[in-house]
Amino acid sequence: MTFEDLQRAWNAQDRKLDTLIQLNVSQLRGSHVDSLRTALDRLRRSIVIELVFNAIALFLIAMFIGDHLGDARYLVTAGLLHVSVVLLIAAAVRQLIALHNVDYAGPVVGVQRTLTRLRVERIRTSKWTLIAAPLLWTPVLIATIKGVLGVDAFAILDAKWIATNLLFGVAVIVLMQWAAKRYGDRAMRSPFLRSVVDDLAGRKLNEAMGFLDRLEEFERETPLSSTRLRAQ
Amino acid sequence: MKQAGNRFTTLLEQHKGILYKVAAAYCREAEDRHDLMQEIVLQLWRSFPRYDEQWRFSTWMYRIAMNVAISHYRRTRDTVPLEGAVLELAAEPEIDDDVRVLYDLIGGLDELSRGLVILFLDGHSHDEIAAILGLTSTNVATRLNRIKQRLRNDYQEKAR
Repeated sequence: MTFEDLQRAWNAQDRKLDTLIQLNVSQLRGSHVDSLRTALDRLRRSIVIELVFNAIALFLIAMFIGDHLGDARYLVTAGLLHVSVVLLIAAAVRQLIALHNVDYAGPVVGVQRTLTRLRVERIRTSKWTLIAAPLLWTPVLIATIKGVLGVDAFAILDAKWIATNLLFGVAVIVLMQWAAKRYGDRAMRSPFLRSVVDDLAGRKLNEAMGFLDRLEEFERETPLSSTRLRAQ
Repeated sequence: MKQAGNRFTTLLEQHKGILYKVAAAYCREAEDRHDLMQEIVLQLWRSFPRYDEQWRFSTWMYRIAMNVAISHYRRTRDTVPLEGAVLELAAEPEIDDDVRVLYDLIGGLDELSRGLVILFLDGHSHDEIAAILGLTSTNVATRLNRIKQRLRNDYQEKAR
């Protein structure tokens, strides 16, 4: 049998498929179709949820800043948080716009490039959020003690304690990245943990960037090496 | 709305083989394949109001099916099956051994080349393939020659 015979066999499968695939038209017409979520819908929903939480955080921080305009220590602390949340909101809005512009009926290479760029942006946002978290938790604690409990945080947390915490945060970041690279490839049952570890280690980012390179190569009109045809 | 729905289901019925062919090229497991087919149908349904008749339905369908399939393939780890069905399979098609061999060979290619091969096997011209994938016709021709040669070699190796 030759490769051409396989092609003929491929064409012959159409009749079989016509018999065996039955479309349940009533389900398609039913209202429940609107409630089903595609992967893109789920992504959109998670970005909107992030956006809502960040908008609430932004509102609370803005109120805190408004109440402490005369105190430079609290202004700097809350200002740091404010800038971080604004950056997260800007990233989420950019991602929602990009998602809104995705047209699955577009040429495959272009659509995949848009989706992968969006994925790169999501990965970078998660990675920087994870990296910034150990540093930002000290300002969060200070603002919470003052904002929620009404206690002067700087009176109970001395400068030495704050500096130690920030240094500890830096150490945690370094340790997290080292551990993610060193042990991240070991079997991890929780998909969430695996995802966090892959974010930290930069594996997801490398993979997504690699796919962008492959898309670019795919578009290029140059003879490709045979190994590139292999599944990644 | 009802008329558009009828038209959509008629067109989908006429081209439903595309669903299986694309899904089978990107998923080895039957369950995964079924999930992917559901996702493709749902995406087609959502996109149908924007269907531009300057394109053949099959061309439009292939674009959406492949975009969904490649995205699905690339995030398989995080896949959450749809909680509901829009499609039924009378049975998982028992495909011929020759076609199974072909799917195995296609499964050895990267996700972009798989799309190219399926379109070629389905008899699309280089221009049509170029329009679906967003490449130039010359690029399609060059790549197809390489891929066909590789598939031939792989097939001969398998047959030995």
